[in-house]
Amino acid sequence: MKLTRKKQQLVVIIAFLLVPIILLGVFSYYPIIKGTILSFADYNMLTSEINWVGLKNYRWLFNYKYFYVSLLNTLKYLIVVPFIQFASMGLAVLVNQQVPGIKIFRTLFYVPVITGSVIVSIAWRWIFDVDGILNYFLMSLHLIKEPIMWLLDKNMALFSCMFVTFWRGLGYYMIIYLAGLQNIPSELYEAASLDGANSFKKFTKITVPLLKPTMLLCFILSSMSALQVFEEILLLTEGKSQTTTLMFELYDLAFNKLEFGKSAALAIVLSIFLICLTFLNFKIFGLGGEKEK
Amino acid sequence: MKKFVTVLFLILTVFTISFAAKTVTVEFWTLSLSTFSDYINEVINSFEAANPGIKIDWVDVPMGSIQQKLVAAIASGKAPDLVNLNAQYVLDYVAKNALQPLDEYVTEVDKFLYWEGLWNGTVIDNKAYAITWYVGPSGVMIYNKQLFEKAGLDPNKPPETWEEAIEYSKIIKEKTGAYGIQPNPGGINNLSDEGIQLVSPDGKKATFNTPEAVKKLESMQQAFKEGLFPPDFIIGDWQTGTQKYSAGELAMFPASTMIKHIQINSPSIYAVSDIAPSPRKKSGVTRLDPMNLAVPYNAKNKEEAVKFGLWLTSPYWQIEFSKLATIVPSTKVTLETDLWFVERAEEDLNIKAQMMSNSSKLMMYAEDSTAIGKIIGASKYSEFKRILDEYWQAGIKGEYTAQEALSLAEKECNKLLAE
Repeated sequence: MKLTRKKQQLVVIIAFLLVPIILLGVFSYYPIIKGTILSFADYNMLTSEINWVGLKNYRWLFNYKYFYVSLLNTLKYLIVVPFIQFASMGLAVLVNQQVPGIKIFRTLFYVPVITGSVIVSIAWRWIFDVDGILNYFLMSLHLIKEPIMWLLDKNMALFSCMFVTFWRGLGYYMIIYLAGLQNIPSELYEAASLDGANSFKKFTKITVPLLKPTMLLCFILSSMSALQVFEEILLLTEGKSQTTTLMFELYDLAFNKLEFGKSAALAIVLSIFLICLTFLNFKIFGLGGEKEK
Repeated sequence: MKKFVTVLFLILTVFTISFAAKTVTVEFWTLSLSTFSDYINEVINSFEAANPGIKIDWVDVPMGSIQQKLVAAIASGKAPDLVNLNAQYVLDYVAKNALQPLDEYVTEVDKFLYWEGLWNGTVIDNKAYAITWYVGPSGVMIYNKQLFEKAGLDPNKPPETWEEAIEYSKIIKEKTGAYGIQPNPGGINNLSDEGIQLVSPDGKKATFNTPEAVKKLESMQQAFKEGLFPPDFIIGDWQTGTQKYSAGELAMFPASTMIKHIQINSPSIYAVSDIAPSPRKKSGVTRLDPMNLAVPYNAKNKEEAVKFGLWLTSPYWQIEFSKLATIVPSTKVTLETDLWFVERAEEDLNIKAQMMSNSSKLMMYAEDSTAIGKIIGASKYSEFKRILDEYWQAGIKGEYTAQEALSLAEKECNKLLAE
């Protein structure tokens, strides 16, 4: 049997799509569906017992003190997003210059991204130690009189964790912005120069508009990372000093307390937040260049 | 001839199959004990030689990944037959009906070998869920005699009570600049040490908000404010405590298994150190966090697993283990009965700590650190601990007054216990 050209194309398309669909199905859609179902059950994973409890897990969650503490901390964590974005964009503009040795700077800024999280946590715990290098440095410069409890003070600990997130993420987003910057045709800048535009005008009228799709991507990625922050909390404070976040609670419920139903309910709530925030990002940035047309 | 060979072959095959069928393989998981592989293998070889039908398949799992691995193994029906768990994990798994009660496999004669306080640590609703194994040296501390001398204190007279320890710490801080002592940051531990009942006998009401509790918290708050404790002890960071002690910045430290670490990494500090009992607890009870051996409910070879568990935790093998690691056996045969330890106690601080911690007087009144979990229920234990620890530590840091911290903790714990 000979297939028509159209059918042949269809077979090829399906063949190419099948692999990602299977992978997404197994590793994304199945867990989402299963997680949603489990959020309505008291599920004992160890004995495979399932008791359907309706909305009980959600009711429990909304009466759970640490849900609100972690929710507030997670929302506070979003503060890091604009800082990390503007700093990495600025950094990308700087390392986009064609000067000798610029690649060394690009590499150096990227090193925190590839450094293992355990090493990062040990290093930063040393730095943030009450007797650590940061307090020593600030006291030597007479900027503070008494050592600051960076990871112990409930008003300070979350911001210390946020700073580590900022430090770790800077290089990652810088690379994405750098790729975006290098896609902007240089003719546009040349034309603007001929028209007498200064650097600020070029940045606001050429760079920023053409970087919008990249900015959308970076804001979505960093917002999602901020809402799902876990590693920094686990490794720096273990959720103490009022630094617990939704993701930390989710992990604690599932893998320390073995409460998979309650953990699934929390995961659903977190997902709703993520969806809302992504929607908001799309609203703010539009759909990149397409909408501009 | 051909017929004879065929018959012989068949007989041999049947014999081999029947022999193989009788061999039971017990899968045994330990927690981060790969450093002691020679010892574990020696125990396994001795057990296999004494029990020809049982083979032990040993797997060492890093402490940090035991939870995920064990949950996955039990859930998928591939549970190990015997697994090394701490007291908290035993409590959590019992709450989820994931452990096998061992009473039908263990006799009264077997139980008599272990300290009652430790054995009963895993008895929940009158069912024993684990065989108690080893504990880290508790009720003892390492202290820096040189810092004592510099501060003008008698290096051979370490403090005996909490009040004395605070007084010593003030002098040490003033004269040397070093921190005095690293206390336990947990609310449950501190209140239990004071002999304060945490909950009512029926487990329905928190009873820890007493004048004695307020007094203890106030003393810790004041000491913290004066810089007598290394501040990071609040996040339970024993590693930081070890580093501070190793650097000569901390005078008294309940080092437990970390003494070896100090000995190897900071020999000059180790050389001027000694071991002493920790400041006396008003309760007279030492709280221990024992390592246990448990059998998952769906393990395939339960009886054989328990048999091996009893072998591994026998007085002989625990004392042998104590010669290699800074641990204390859970059995009533103490290290004092072994000449190897007696001869070395004065020259090695690890052994001195082990001997001091393993005294009959101390072990007789010991209880496991999760004892409260048996009264309030395993499912509420971790939440109760979290609330109490959180307010206790906030109180130490001065975020609340001692009375406020305890009242808030009481209110939230009562809400939890009433659920």
